Amino acid sequence: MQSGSRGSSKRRNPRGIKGVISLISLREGEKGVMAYAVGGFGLVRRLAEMGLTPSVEVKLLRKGPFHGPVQIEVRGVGLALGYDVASKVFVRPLKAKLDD
Amino acid sequence: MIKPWLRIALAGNANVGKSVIFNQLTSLNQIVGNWPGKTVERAEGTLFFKGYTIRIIDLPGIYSLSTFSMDEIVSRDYIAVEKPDIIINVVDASALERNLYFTLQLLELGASIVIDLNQIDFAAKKGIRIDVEKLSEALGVPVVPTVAITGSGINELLSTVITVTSGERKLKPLKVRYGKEIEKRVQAIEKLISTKLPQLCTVYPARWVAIKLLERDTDVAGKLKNYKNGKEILDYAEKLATELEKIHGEPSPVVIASERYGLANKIAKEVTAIEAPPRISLEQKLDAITTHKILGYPILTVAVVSMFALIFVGGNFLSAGLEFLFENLSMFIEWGLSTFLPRIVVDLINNGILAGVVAGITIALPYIVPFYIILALLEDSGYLPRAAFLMDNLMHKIGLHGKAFIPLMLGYGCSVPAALAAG
Repeated sequence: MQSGSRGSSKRRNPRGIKGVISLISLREGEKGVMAYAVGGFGLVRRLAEMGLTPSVEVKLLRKGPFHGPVQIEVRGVGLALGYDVASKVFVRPLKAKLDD
Repeated sequence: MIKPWLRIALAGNANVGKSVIFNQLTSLNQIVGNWPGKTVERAEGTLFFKGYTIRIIDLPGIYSLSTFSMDEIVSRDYIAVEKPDIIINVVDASALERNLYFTLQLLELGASIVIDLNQIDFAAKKGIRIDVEKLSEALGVPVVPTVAITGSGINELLSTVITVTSGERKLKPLKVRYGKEIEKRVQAIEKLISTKLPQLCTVYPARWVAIKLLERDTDVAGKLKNYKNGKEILDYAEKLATELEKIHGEPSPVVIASERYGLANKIAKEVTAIEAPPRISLEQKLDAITTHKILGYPILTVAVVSMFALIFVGGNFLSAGLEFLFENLSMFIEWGLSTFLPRIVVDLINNGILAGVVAGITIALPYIVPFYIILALLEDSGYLPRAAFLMDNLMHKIGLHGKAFIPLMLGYGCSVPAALAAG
């Protein structure tokens, strides 16, 4: 798996919505709007409870080395997701703004 | 007049300073144990305030009142079944929206709450200013700003609690309402529960049960199964949940969480003013360096090596010093005692009792004490989670979590503190 390649076959978004990529495909500092999460009922529900609900804005703060944890900011709070969990969250990337 | 007992529960997210508040309130009057039959820690304390004897329970730090973990089940059962006189909801002022998500659930559970708006100093540092009056109006409950670390606001918090429990101040808690699609279904289930299962409604609010069923909460569903009419209600709720999922294309708990967060966001926005944009602080710079993809590792190596060095050099030094002390003590005892005690008793004292104690003290303690001091420093400085961030995936490969690298390293020196730290 390569973390840099957007839309590689393994990252293809399962619901096939256009313009949606996996959270781990965002670059550090880049923002996205959450589209959906895939995975078990428990995981999707847990993510929602932590604030990762559809259409919320997410900022990728940094990615841990060697497929380590992915740190994001959502609803004003920092959150670290395991690499595997982060790869199951799909977002629509936002164009970088000047204030970043 | 004898003033009654009060039972207060502290509830809130993890990492909001809840334990600090608990310590401020109860100081050393604490009993820490487990919840009956659960491996969840239960901390309880007593305090005396204005003639009241107040019993305080520190509920586990959680983000939601669902059934993700035992912590959450324990908390909501305590709130619903034991019905404490009041719940102090500790809220992190610097992360209002996320914390309000939990507050809204407390309100749904029908709890009487007072909000402790904690860490206002930290929020101010981040440029966040919260209008306490407005927040109190929006939620319909008192809000008391505090800074737990310094103890500021704690007295007002208690006074406010008393004004509520004595009935002097009435709560007008916000009624959490959802969008039409959810609301319609919640009310339908609620009506069915109130008519078919009035027994259950004496413990849990019917509306809350309805929301939980719509969220496919397995714990609440399990409770209903014990009743004769339970099955009918469950089937009905199941049908409505499926409908909701068809409309939104998401699992029903996600749909409901979304709306709840929407409300939390709305309230947070109304009461928050963002002042000067925060400058990049020293903390942030240190954070960036210590978790850097490349730089992070030499820093980690230096930290671990110096930890080793400190523990072993310091430990050896202490160990040698103590050994020297005890050797002299032993010689002194032998010389002193053998003048009037038989040889065999002197040997028993010297080689038996003393030698055993000495071995324990000089071999283990000199390493364990510095280790705990250094571990506490690493934890308090916040370096540990950064190190864990760097090591997480590598540690996962061997079946451990990121933080476990500290005891792993320590195991090279002595396995006793390593096992202690890992536990």
